Amino acid sequence: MNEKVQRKSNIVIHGTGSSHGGVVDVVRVHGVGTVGDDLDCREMHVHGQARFGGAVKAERGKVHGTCDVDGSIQAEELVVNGQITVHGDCSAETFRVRGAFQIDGLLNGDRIELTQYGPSFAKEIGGESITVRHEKVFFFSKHKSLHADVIEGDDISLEYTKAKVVRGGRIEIGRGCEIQLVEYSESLKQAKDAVVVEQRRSPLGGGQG
Amino acid sequence: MDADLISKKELLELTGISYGQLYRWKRKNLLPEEWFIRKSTFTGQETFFPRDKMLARIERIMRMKDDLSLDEIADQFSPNPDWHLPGEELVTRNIVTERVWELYQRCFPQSTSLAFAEVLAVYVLDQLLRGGDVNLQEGEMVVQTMVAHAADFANQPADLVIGRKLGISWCALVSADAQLIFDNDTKVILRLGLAEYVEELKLKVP
Repeated sequence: MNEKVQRKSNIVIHGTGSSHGGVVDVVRVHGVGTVGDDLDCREMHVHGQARFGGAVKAERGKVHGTCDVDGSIQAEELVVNGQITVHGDCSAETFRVRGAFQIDGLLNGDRIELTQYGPSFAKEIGGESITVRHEKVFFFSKHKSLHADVIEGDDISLEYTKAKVVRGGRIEIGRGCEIQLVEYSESLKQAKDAVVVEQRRSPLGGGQG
Repeated sequence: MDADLISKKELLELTGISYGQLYRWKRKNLLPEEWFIRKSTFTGQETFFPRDKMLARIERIMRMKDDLSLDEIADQFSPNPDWHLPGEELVTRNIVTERVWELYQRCFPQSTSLAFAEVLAVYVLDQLLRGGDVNLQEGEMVVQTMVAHAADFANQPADLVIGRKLGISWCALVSADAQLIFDNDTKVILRLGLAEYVEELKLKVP
Protein backbone atom coordinates (compact mmCIF):
# COMPACT_ATOMS: atom_id res chain seq x y z
CA MET A 1 0.00 0.00 0.00
CA ASN A 2 2.25 2.81 1.23
CA GLU A 3 5.17 2.03 -1.01
CA LYS A 4 8.04 4.20 0.04
CA VAL A 5 7.59 4.48 3.75
CA GLN A 6 10.82 5.19 5.53
CA ARG A 7 11.58 2.16 7.64
CA LYS A 8 14.47 3.24 9.75
CA SER A 9 13.94 1.82 13.20
CA ASN A 10 13.76 -1.73 14.44
CA ILE A 11 12.08 -3.24 17.45
CA VAL A 12 14.36 -5.67 19.23
CA ILE A 13 13.39 -7.38 22.46
CA HIS A 14 15.82 -9.80 24.07
CA GLY A 15 14.65 -11.17 27.35
CA THR A 16 11.45 -9.56 28.53
CA GLY A 17 10.18 -6.28 27.23
CA SER A 18 7.49 -4.28 25.57
CA SER A 19 7.32 -1.69 22.86
CA HIS A 20 4.97 0.51 20.88
CA GLY A 21 4.11 -0.49 17.35
CA GLY A 22 4.37 1.82 14.37
CA VAL A 23 6.12 1.57 11.03
CA VAL A 24 9.43 -0.22 11.42
CA ASP A 25 11.83 -2.35 9.46
CA VAL A 26 12.43 -5.47 11.53
CA VAL A 27 10.74 -6.73 14.67
CA ARG A 28 12.71 -9.29 16.62
CA VAL A 29 11.53 -10.89 19.84
CA HIS A 30 13.83 -13.36 21.56
CA GLY A 31 12.18 -14.18 24.83
CA VAL A 32 8.89 -12.66 25.90
CA GLY A 33 7.75 -9.50 24.21
CA THR A 34 4.68 -7.32 23.86
CA VAL A 35 4.09 -4.83 21.09
CA GLY A 36 1.42 -2.38 22.11
CA ASP A 37 -0.53 -1.16 19.12
CA ASP A 38 -0.74 -1.46 15.33
CA LEU A 39 2.44 -2.60 13.68
CA ASP A 40 3.61 -2.32 10.10
CA CYS A 41 6.94 -4.02 9.50
CA ARG A 42 8.99 -5.66 6.80
CA GLU A 43 10.16 -8.63 8.79
CA MET A 44 8.90 -10.13 11.99
CA HIS A 45 10.79 -12.79 13.95
CA VAL A 46 9.51 -14.31 17.13
CA HIS A 47 11.57 -16.80 19.09
CA GLY A 48 9.72 -17.44 22.28
CA GLN A 49 6.52 -15.66 23.02
CA ALA A 50 5.08 -12.49 21.58
CA ARG A 51 1.87 -10.59 21.89
CA PHE A 52 0.71 -7.92 19.46
CA GLY A 53 -1.93 -5.55 20.79
CA GLY A 54 -3.19 -4.33 17.42
CA ALA A 55 -3.23 -5.20 13.77
CA VAL A 56 -0.01 -6.54 12.26
CA LYS A 57 1.22 -6.05 8.72
CA ALA A 58 4.43 -7.72 7.65
CA GLU A 59 6.09 -8.80 4.48
CA ARG A 60 7.58 -11.89 6.07
CA GLY A 61 6.80 -13.31 9.47
CA LYS A 62 8.42 -16.18 11.30
CA VAL A 63 7.30 -17.53 14.64
CA HIS A 64 9.10 -20.15 16.67
CA GLY A 65 7.05 -20.43 19.80
CA THR A 66 3.76 -18.70 20.39
CA CYS A 67 2.34 -15.53 18.99
CA ASP A 68 -0.90 -13.73 19.94
CA VAL A 69 -2.37 -11.06 17.70
CA ASP A 70 -5.27 -9.02 19.04
CA GLY A 71 -6.20 -7.55 15.66
CA SER A 72 -5.82 -8.96 12.19
CA ILE A 73 -2.59 -10.05 10.61
CA GLN A 74 -1.58 -9.57 7.00
CA ALA A 75 1.63 -10.90 5.50
CA GLU A 76 3.17 -12.08 2.27
CA GLU A 77 4.63 -15.12 3.96
CA LEU A 78 3.89 -16.33 7.44
CA VAL A 79 5.66 -19.38 8.82
CA VAL A 80 4.82 -20.65 12.29
CA ASN A 81 6.49 -23.45 14.19
CA GLY A 82 4.40 -23.53 17.29
CA GLN A 83 1.17 -21.74 17.90
CA ILE A 84 -0.46 -18.60 16.57
CA THR A 85 -3.65 -16.98 17.86
CA VAL A 86 -5.35 -14.27 15.82
CA HIS A 87 -8.45 -12.50 17.07
CA GLY A 88 -9.25 -10.93 13.71
CA ASP A 89 -8.60 -12.19 10.18
CA CYS A 90 -5.38 -13.72 8.98
CA SER A 91 -4.30 -13.26 5.39
CA ALA A 92 -1.06 -14.32 3.75
CA GLU A 93 0.03 -15.45 0.32
CA THR A 94 1.81 -18.37 1.97
CA PHE A 95 0.71 -19.52 5.39
CA ARG A 96 2.64 -22.49 6.75
CA VAL A 97 2.07 -23.79 10.25
CA ARG A 98 3.62 -26.73 12.06
CA GLY A 99 1.75 -26.78 15.30
CA ALA A 100 -1.61 -25.14 15.76
CA PHE A 101 -3.56 -21.98 15.09
CA GLN A 102 -6.62 -20.27 16.54
CA ILE A 103 -8.14 -17.76 14.15
CA ASP A 104 -11.41 -16.12 15.14
CA GLY A 105 -12.09 -14.69 11.69
CA LEU A 106 -11.17 -15.68 8.16
CA LEU A 107 -7.94 -17.41 7.25
CA ASN A 108 -7.26 -16.28 3.69
CA GLY A 109 -4.22 -17.48 1.76
CA ASP A 110 -2.97 -18.60 -1.60
CA ARG A 111 -1.22 -21.60 -0.11
CA ILE A 112 -2.29 -22.73 3.31
CA GLU A 113 -0.41 -25.64 4.87
CA LEU A 114 -1.04 -26.95 8.33
CA THR A 115 0.79 -29.83 9.95
CA GLN A 116 -1.13 -30.48 13.11
CA TYR A 117 0.47 -30.84 16.50
CA GLY A 118 -2.55 -29.82 18.53
CA PRO A 119 -6.10 -28.58 18.14
CA SER A 120 -6.60 -25.75 15.67
CA PHE A 121 -9.57 -23.56 14.88
CA ALA A 122 -10.55 -21.07 12.21
CA LYS A 123 -14.04 -19.76 11.53
CA GLU A 124 -13.52 -19.75 7.79
CA ILE A 125 -10.66 -20.84 5.58
CA GLY A 126 -10.39 -19.77 1.97
CA GLY A 127 -7.73 -19.81 -0.71
CA GLU A 128 -6.28 -21.59 -3.66
CA SER A 129 -4.65 -24.63 -2.12
CA ILE A 130 -5.35 -25.80 1.41
CA THR A 131 -3.48 -28.76 2.84
CA VAL A 132 -3.95 -30.14 6.33
CA ARG A 133 -1.72 -32.99 7.48
CA HIS A 134 -1.36 -34.95 10.65
CA GLU A 135 2.11 -36.32 10.97
CA LYS A 136 2.08 -38.60 13.98
CA VAL A 137 -1.20 -40.31 14.47
CA PHE A 138 -1.87 -41.19 18.08
CA PHE A 139 -4.81 -42.72 19.79
CA PHE A 140 -6.10 -39.24 20.62
CA SER A 141 -5.52 -37.75 17.20
CA LYS A 142 -9.20 -37.03 16.72
CA HIS A 143 -9.20 -34.68 19.67
CA LYS A 144 -6.37 -32.70 18.19
CA SER A 145 -8.08 -32.03 14.91
CA LEU A 146 -8.72 -28.81 13.05
CA HIS A 147 -12.20 -27.30 13.43
CA ALA A 148 -13.64 -24.88 10.92
CA ASP A 149 -17.09 -23.76 9.85
CA VAL A 150 -16.35 -23.36 6.17
CA ILE A 151 -13.36 -24.39 4.07
CA GLU A 152 -13.27 -23.19 0.46
CA GLY A 153 -10.52 -23.59 -2.12
CA ASP A 154 -9.56 -24.89 -5.52
CA ASP A 155 -7.39 -27.73 -4.20
CA ILE A 156 -8.24 -29.00 -0.74
CA SER A 157 -6.62 -31.93 0.97
CA LEU A 158 -7.58 -32.59 4.58
CA GLU A 159 -6.72 -34.96 7.41
CA TYR A 160 -8.22 -34.96 10.87
CA THR A 161 -10.50 -32.05 10.16
CA LYS A 162 -13.98 -31.31 11.40
CA ALA A 163 -15.94 -28.87 9.27
CA LYS A 164 -19.53 -27.98 8.48
CA VAL A 165 -18.98 -27.23 4.82
CA VAL A 166 -16.08 -27.93 2.45
CA ARG A 167 -16.45 -26.45 -1.05
CA GLY A 168 -14.02 -26.51 -3.90
CA GLY A 169 -12.70 -27.94 -7.13
CA ARG A 170 -10.54 -30.96 -6.30
CA ILE A 171 -11.13 -32.23 -2.80
CA GLU A 172 -9.47 -35.00 -0.81
CA ILE A 173 -11.05 -35.93 2.48
CA GLY A 174 -8.42 -37.95 4.31
CA ARG A 175 -8.32 -40.04 7.45
CA GLY A 176 -9.98 -38.84 10.59
CA CYS A 177 -12.18 -36.22 8.93
CA GLU A 178 -15.77 -35.41 9.82
CA ILE A 179 -17.45 -33.17 7.29
CA GLN A 180 -21.14 -32.33 7.20
CA LEU A 181 -21.35 -31.23 3.58
CA VAL A 182 -18.89 -31.45 0.72
CA GLU A 183 -19.58 -29.58 -2.52
CA TYR A 184 -17.10 -30.18 -5.30
CA SER A 185 -16.90 -29.30 -8.97
CA GLU A 186 -14.17 -31.61 -10.28
CA SER A 187 -13.20 -34.51 -8.06
CA LEU A 188 -13.69 -35.92 -4.60
CA LYS A 189 -11.56 -38.57 -2.92
CA GLN A 190 -12.50 -39.92 0.45
CA ALA A 191 -10.55 -42.07 2.87
CA LYS A 192 -12.21 -45.17 4.31
CA ASP A 193 -12.54 -43.91 7.84
CA ALA A 194 -13.56 -40.37 6.88
CA VAL A 195 -17.13 -39.31 7.55
CA VAL A 196 -18.92 -37.19 4.97
CA VAL A 197 -22.58 -36.76 5.84
CA GLU A 198 -23.64 -35.25 2.54
CA GLN A 199 -21.86 -34.70 -0.73
CA ARG A 200 -22.91 -32.86 -3.87
CA ARG A 201 -21.33 -32.25 -7.17
CA SER A 202 -22.07 -28.73 -8.35
CA PRO A 203 -21.23 -28.48 -12.03
CA LEU A 204 -19.53 -25.27 -13.07
CA GLY A 205 -21.67 -23.13 -15.33
CA GLY A 206 -24.92 -24.91 -14.55
CA GLY A 207 -26.89 -22.82 -12.11
CA GLN A 208 -29.18 -24.63 -9.74
CA GLY A 209 -30.91 -21.71 -8.06
CA MET B 1 -33.59 -15.46 -1.70
CA ASP B 2 -33.11 -11.75 -2.22
CA ALA B 3 -33.09 -10.92 -5.93
CA ASP B 4 -30.33 -8.33 -5.72
CA LEU B 5 -27.96 -10.65 -3.87
CA ILE B 6 -25.86 -13.37 -5.43
CA SER B 7 -24.45 -16.32 -3.54
CA LYS B 8 -20.77 -17.07 -3.73
CA LYS B 9 -21.36 -20.37 -5.48
CA GLU B 10 -23.63 -18.81 -8.08
CA LEU B 11 -21.10 -16.04 -8.64
CA LEU B 12 -18.31 -18.51 -9.33
CA GLU B 13 -20.49 -20.50 -11.70
CA LEU B 14 -21.63 -17.39 -13.53
CA THR B 15 -18.25 -15.74 -13.94
CA GLY B 16 -16.03 -18.80 -14.15
CA ILE B 17 -13.56 -17.52 -11.57
CA SER B 18 -12.13 -19.85 -8.95
CA TYR B 19 -12.15 -19.74 -5.16
CA GLY B 20 -8.45 -18.99 -5.31
CA GLN B 21 -9.03 -15.89 -7.43
CA LEU B 22 -11.90 -14.68 -5.30
CA TYR B 23 -9.94 -14.98 -2.08
CA ARG B 24 -6.82 -13.47 -3.68
CA TRP B 25 -8.79 -10.45 -4.87
CA LYS B 26 -10.29 -10.06 -1.45
CA ARG B 27 -6.82 -10.20 0.12
CA LYS B 28 -5.58 -7.55 -2.27
CA ASN B 29 -8.55 -5.29 -1.47
CA LEU B 30 -10.00 -5.49 -4.94
CA LEU B 31 -13.31 -6.45 -3.37
CA PRO B 32 -14.50 -4.32 -0.48
CA GLU B 33 -15.13 -6.05 2.81
CA GLU B 34 -18.66 -4.68 3.13
CA TRP B 35 -19.76 -6.55 0.02
CA PHE B 36 -19.25 -9.87 1.82
CA ILE B 37 -22.64 -10.41 3.40
CA ARG B 38 -22.86 -13.46 5.61
CA LYS B 39 -26.21 -15.11 6.01
CA SER B 40 -27.37 -18.30 7.62
CA THR B 41 -28.92 -20.75 5.24
CA PHE B 42 -29.98 -24.34 5.71
CA THR B 43 -26.43 -25.48 4.99
CA GLY B 44 -25.00 -23.14 7.60
CA GLN B 45 -23.22 -19.90 6.87
CA GLU B 46 -23.09 -18.72 3.29
CA THR B 47 -21.66 -15.58 1.77
CA PHE B 48 -23.64 -13.33 -0.53
CA PHE B 49 -22.73 -10.27 -2.56
CA PRO B 50 -24.65 -7.33 -3.97
CA ARG B 51 -25.33 -8.81 -7.40
CA ASP B 52 -24.94 -5.88 -9.80
CA LYS B 53 -21.96 -4.27 -8.10
CA MET B 54 -20.13 -7.55 -7.76
CA LEU B 55 -20.69 -8.66 -11.35
CA ALA B 56 -19.62 -5.26 -12.67
CA ARG B 57 -16.52 -5.28 -10.48
CA ILE B 58 -15.50 -8.81 -11.51
CA GLU B 59 -15.92 -7.88 -15.16
CA ARG B 60 -13.67 -4.85 -14.71
CA ILE B 61 -11.03 -6.87 -12.89
CA MET B 62 -11.07 -9.51 -15.61
CA ARG B 63 -10.60 -6.82 -18.26
CA MET B 64 -7.72 -5.16 -16.41
CA LYS B 65 -5.89 -8.13 -14.97
CA ASP B 66 -3.87 -8.92 -18.10
CA ASP B 67 -2.38 -5.44 -18.27
CA LEU B 68 -2.10 -4.38 -14.66
CA SER B 69 -0.79 -5.96 -11.48
CA LEU B 70 -3.27 -6.68 -8.72
CA ASP B 71 -1.83 -3.84 -6.65
CA GLU B 72 -2.34 -1.41 -9.51
CA ILE B 73 -5.90 -2.59 -9.94
CA ALA B 74 -6.48 -2.22 -6.21
CA ASP B 75 -5.28 1.35 -6.49
CA GLN B 76 -7.91 1.96 -9.18
CA PHE B 77 -10.63 0.88 -6.79
CA SER B 78 -9.19 2.47 -3.69
CA PRO B 79 -11.37 5.35 -2.51
CA ASN B 80 -8.40 7.50 -1.58
CA PRO B 81 -5.24 7.48 -3.69
CA ASP B 82 -2.31 9.76 -3.10
CA TRP B 83 -2.60 12.73 -5.45
CA HIS B 84 -1.30 16.26 -5.83
CA LEU B 85 -2.66 17.87 -8.97
CA PRO B 86 -2.17 21.48 -9.92
CA GLY B 87 -5.65 22.95 -10.23
CA GLU B 88 -5.16 24.46 -13.68
CA GLU B 89 -4.46 21.02 -15.02
CA LEU B 90 -8.01 20.02 -14.28
CA VAL B 91 -9.17 22.65 -16.73
CA THR B 92 -6.57 22.01 -19.41
CA ARG B 93 -7.31 18.29 -19.30
CA ASN B 94 -11.02 18.94 -19.61
CA ILE B 95 -11.88 17.27 -16.34
CA VAL B 96 -13.81 20.29 -15.15
CA THR B 97 -14.90 23.48 -16.90
CA GLU B 98 -13.16 26.75 -16.24
CA ARG B 99 -16.20 28.28 -14.57
CA VAL B 100 -16.37 25.49 -12.04
CA TRP B 101 -12.69 25.83 -11.28
CA GLU B 102 -13.18 29.58 -10.67
CA LEU B 103 -16.06 28.82 -8.39
CA TYR B 104 -13.91 26.39 -6.47
CA GLN B 105 -11.11 28.92 -6.17
CA ARG B 106 -13.58 31.38 -4.71
CA CYS B 107 -14.39 28.86 -1.98
CA PHE B 108 -10.75 27.88 -1.38
CA PRO B 109 -8.58 30.76 -2.59
CA GLN B 110 -5.30 29.43 -1.29
CA SER B 111 -5.45 25.94 -2.79
CA THR B 112 -3.31 25.42 -5.87
CA SER B 113 -2.27 21.78 -5.65
CA LEU B 114 -5.21 19.50 -5.05
CA ALA B 115 -5.31 16.25 -3.14
CA PHE B 116 -7.57 13.51 -4.36
CA ALA B 117 -10.53 14.43 -2.17
CA GLU B 118 -10.43 18.00 -3.44
CA VAL B 119 -10.23 16.92 -7.06
CA LEU B 120 -13.19 14.67 -6.41
CA ALA B 121 -15.14 17.55 -4.91
CA VAL B 122 -14.51 19.78 -7.95
CA TYR B 123 -15.34 16.95 -10.28
CA VAL B 124 -18.61 16.17 -8.52
CA LEU B 125 -19.47 19.88 -8.50
CA ASP B 126 -18.84 20.05 -12.22
CA GLN B 127 -21.07 17.07 -12.89
CA LEU B 128 -23.81 18.40 -10.63
CA LEU B 129 -23.88 21.80 -12.29
CA ARG B 130 -23.86 20.19 -15.72
CA GLY B 131 -26.74 18.01 -14.70
CA GLY B 132 -28.68 21.13 -13.77
CA ASP B 133 -30.11 19.69 -10.59
CA VAL B 134 -28.39 22.10 -8.25
CA ASN B 135 -27.71 25.81 -8.39
CA LEU B 136 -24.46 27.60 -7.70
CA GLN B 137 -25.10 28.16 -4.02
CA GLU B 138 -25.91 24.55 -3.44
CA GLY B 139 -22.84 23.57 -5.40
CA GLU B 140 -20.66 25.68 -3.16
CA MET B 141 -22.21 24.05 -0.14
CA VAL B 142 -21.50 20.60 -1.56
CA VAL B 143 -17.85 21.41 -2.20
CA GLN B 144 -17.37 22.89 1.25
CA THR B 145 -18.87 19.80 2.83
CA MET B 146 -16.92 17.33 0.76
CA VAL B 147 -13.59 19.00 1.35
CA ALA B 148 -14.17 19.56 5.05
CA HIS B 149 -15.19 15.99 5.71
CA ALA B 150 -12.96 14.18 3.22
CA ALA B 151 -11.01 12.49 6.00
CA ASP B 152 -14.14 10.97 7.50
CA PHE B 153 -14.85 9.10 4.31
CA ALA B 154 -11.30 8.43 3.19
CA ASN B 155 -11.58 4.69 3.52
CA GLN B 156 -15.21 3.91 3.04
CA PRO B 157 -17.64 4.53 0.23
CA ALA B 158 -19.98 7.45 0.73
CA ASP B 159 -23.16 8.79 -0.83
CA LEU B 160 -23.86 12.45 -1.33
CA VAL B 161 -27.45 13.48 -0.59
CA ILE B 162 -28.86 16.84 -1.54
CA GLY B 163 -32.32 17.94 -0.49
CA ARG B 164 -34.55 20.89 0.21
CA LYS B 165 -36.96 21.65 2.96
CA LEU B 166 -39.25 24.68 2.84
CA GLY B 167 -36.99 26.45 0.39
CA ILE B 168 -33.78 25.81 2.25
CA SER B 169 -31.32 23.43 0.69
CA TRP B 170 -29.02 21.11 2.54
CA CYS B 171 -26.56 18.40 1.71
CA ALA B 172 -25.18 15.43 3.59
CA LEU B 173 -22.55 12.75 3.24
CA VAL B 174 -23.72 9.35 4.42
CA SER B 175 -22.24 5.87 4.31
CA ALA B 176 -23.07 4.13 1.07
CA ASP B 177 -26.25 2.08 1.23
CA ALA B 178 -27.38 3.70 4.47
CA GLN B 179 -31.14 3.97 4.65
CA LEU B 180 -32.44 7.48 5.25
CA ILE B 181 -35.96 8.44 6.20
CA PHE B 182 -37.14 12.05 6.19
CA ASP B 183 -40.20 13.96 7.28
CA ASN B 184 -42.86 14.81 4.71
CA ASP B 185 -41.71 18.37 4.03
CA THR B 186 -38.23 17.29 3.07
CA LYS B 187 -37.60 16.57 -0.54
CA VAL B 188 -34.47 14.72 -1.57
CA ILE B 189 -33.29 16.11 -4.88
CA LEU B 190 -30.62 13.57 -5.56
CA ARG B 191 -28.49 10.91 -4.03
CA LEU B 192 -25.18 10.01 -5.66
CA GLY B 193 -22.82 7.16 -4.96
CA LEU B 194 -19.43 8.84 -4.81
CA ALA B 195 -17.68 5.55 -5.56
CA GLU B 196 -18.77 5.81 -9.20
CA TYR B 197 -17.30 9.27 -9.49
CA VAL B 198 -14.10 8.06 -7.90
CA GLU B 199 -13.76 5.40 -10.55
CA GLU B 200 -14.67 7.74 -13.40
CA LEU B 201 -12.15 10.22 -12.17
CA LYS B 202 -9.40 7.65 -11.99
CA LEU B 203 -9.97 6.73 -15.59
CA LYS B 204 -9.63 10.36 -16.62
CA VAL B 205 -6.50 11.03 -14.59
CA PRO B 206 -4.01 8.25 -15.15
